[in-house]
Amino acid sequence: MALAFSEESRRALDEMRSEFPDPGSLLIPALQLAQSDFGHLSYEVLQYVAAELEVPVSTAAGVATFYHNLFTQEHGRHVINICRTLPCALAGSGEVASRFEELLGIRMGETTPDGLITLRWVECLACCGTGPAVQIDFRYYEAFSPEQCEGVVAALRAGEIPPGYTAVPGGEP
Amino acid sequence: MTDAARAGMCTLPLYTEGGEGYRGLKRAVFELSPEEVHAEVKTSNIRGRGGAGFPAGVKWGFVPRDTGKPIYLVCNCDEGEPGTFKDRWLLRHSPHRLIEGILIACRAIGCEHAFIYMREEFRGEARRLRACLAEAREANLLGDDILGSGWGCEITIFMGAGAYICGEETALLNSLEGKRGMPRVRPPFPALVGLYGCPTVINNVETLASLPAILIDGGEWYTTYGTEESTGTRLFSISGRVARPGVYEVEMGVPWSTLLDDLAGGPARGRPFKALYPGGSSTPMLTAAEVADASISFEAAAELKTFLGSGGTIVLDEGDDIVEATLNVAEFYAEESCGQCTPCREGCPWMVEILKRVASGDAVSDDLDLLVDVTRHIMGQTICAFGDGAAGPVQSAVLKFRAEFEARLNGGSGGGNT
Repeated sequence: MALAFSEESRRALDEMRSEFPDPGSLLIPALQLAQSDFGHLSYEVLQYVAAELEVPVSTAAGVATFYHNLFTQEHGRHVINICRTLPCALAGSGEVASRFEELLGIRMGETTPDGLITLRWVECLACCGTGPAVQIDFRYYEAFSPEQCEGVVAALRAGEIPPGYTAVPGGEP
Repeated sequence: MTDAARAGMCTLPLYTEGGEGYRGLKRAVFELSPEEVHAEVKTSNIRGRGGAGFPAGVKWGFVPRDTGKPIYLVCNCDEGEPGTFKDRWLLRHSPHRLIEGILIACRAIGCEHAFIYMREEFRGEARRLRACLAEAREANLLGDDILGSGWGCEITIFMGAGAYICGEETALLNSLEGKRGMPRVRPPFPALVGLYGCPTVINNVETLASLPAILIDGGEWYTTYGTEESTGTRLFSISGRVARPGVYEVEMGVPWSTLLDDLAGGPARGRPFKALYPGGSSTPMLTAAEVADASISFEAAAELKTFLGSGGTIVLDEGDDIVEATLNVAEFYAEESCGQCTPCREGCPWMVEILKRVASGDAVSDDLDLLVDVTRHIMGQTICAFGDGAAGPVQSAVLKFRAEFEARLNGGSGGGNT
């Protein structure tokens, strides 16, 4: 099975080639695009990306394992990130986490058996005044209460975007 | 202001309505020479709003103009310091002000290609910013021939991939170059050897967004606010046990009560304040008593052996447990350490282990001395300031709230280990 970037990813990379004076800068975006195309950065995917960018596999692997949002293991189709850092902890992130664990039947850091949802603790999301802060698939959910958890899980299971996220006009992720 | 108007604030027409939007850039390009733009910013004495508080105008002066290499400007938009959310606020409410500030800085330092390093969690904000860059390009405020001046400048956004340490300026450069975000040994400093080995200035979002006003009203005007060493105003992010958490613009030199009580509404749940991190979790804690007599300025913070950092104030009240708070923050640093230097890589998890023992009642008094000893072996011994940020607040917590830590020893009974 030969791996290949999607058309969209290839176009994005080509555009970036002209934007960045040094091709080394393409590695992280390439890994992000590969992750979106192939699900996660398996060793096979790392070899592919490394070959495309003409860097050693070890360089790609080093980068892939350094950053929190690059996954070298399989993870859920949707990722629920809950901020654990102090201001959000004071605001009640613990209760939000417990409620999600209860509803999904998994612990923090795990993925539901059907592969739909990964539940993670993350660090400060720069949202401290409106905590607890949650990000689901890079959308911000602020002042998140445990009562919202059920609706979020139902929406994700129905293939919909959970309501209540902070809109950025013209800025859908 | 209606939600619609607030949403519309991002757009170019609204930013330029009334004539102020991009007036600073126009002055910088048409009325002043690049040296004069630089001089205006030096006169303002504005100090970096990202954490280090280094005077921006002085930093710009370190850039050599005769190397034959391109000069780069990098906007540090990797806001991740716990307690800080004012850059995200600026991105959401005034992205054009940031773009204008970047262009002004570029004009001053001789940069024709600037980069904005954004943390990946700001994906929505990044798309909004891209739309604003497109508006600016359409209006000839960006590109080959800005406003027909003959001067050209480009701005490229680079998204991170999730790493607090990439807010450290040299880790940021490494990340932008496609590497792991590990800070660099200095010297050489980025002004000499920065992005792609070229002279580079890195400035924080808020620092850059402050430039349009300085260009419009002058550096001298900026110094009429604040104190001599801490000019102007700053955006403080305040969270924790206050009634009205949020982002507030504060004139430097005002008492802490202005921020804590007047603006943020005082204690949130009727309990007196206990302590706060003045400028983010990397800044040593101040007790309520220390804060009661103090004012908000770089020099006042230094006198109290702390610093203003990124202006992210986290407030605790008498109902909060200093040991638990310290443990929470220590876990942050253990998680985010890049792993490059031994004192930090080994010391941060070690602090967590000791604090966990204290929190669960399994520690003995030697553990507190050990904890302080570990902090002393981290501070000043690392390639970057992360180590100091991890260790300093732990030191301050044990120093100022020793009784709370001691009460937890051996389950608080003072007896032997169980």
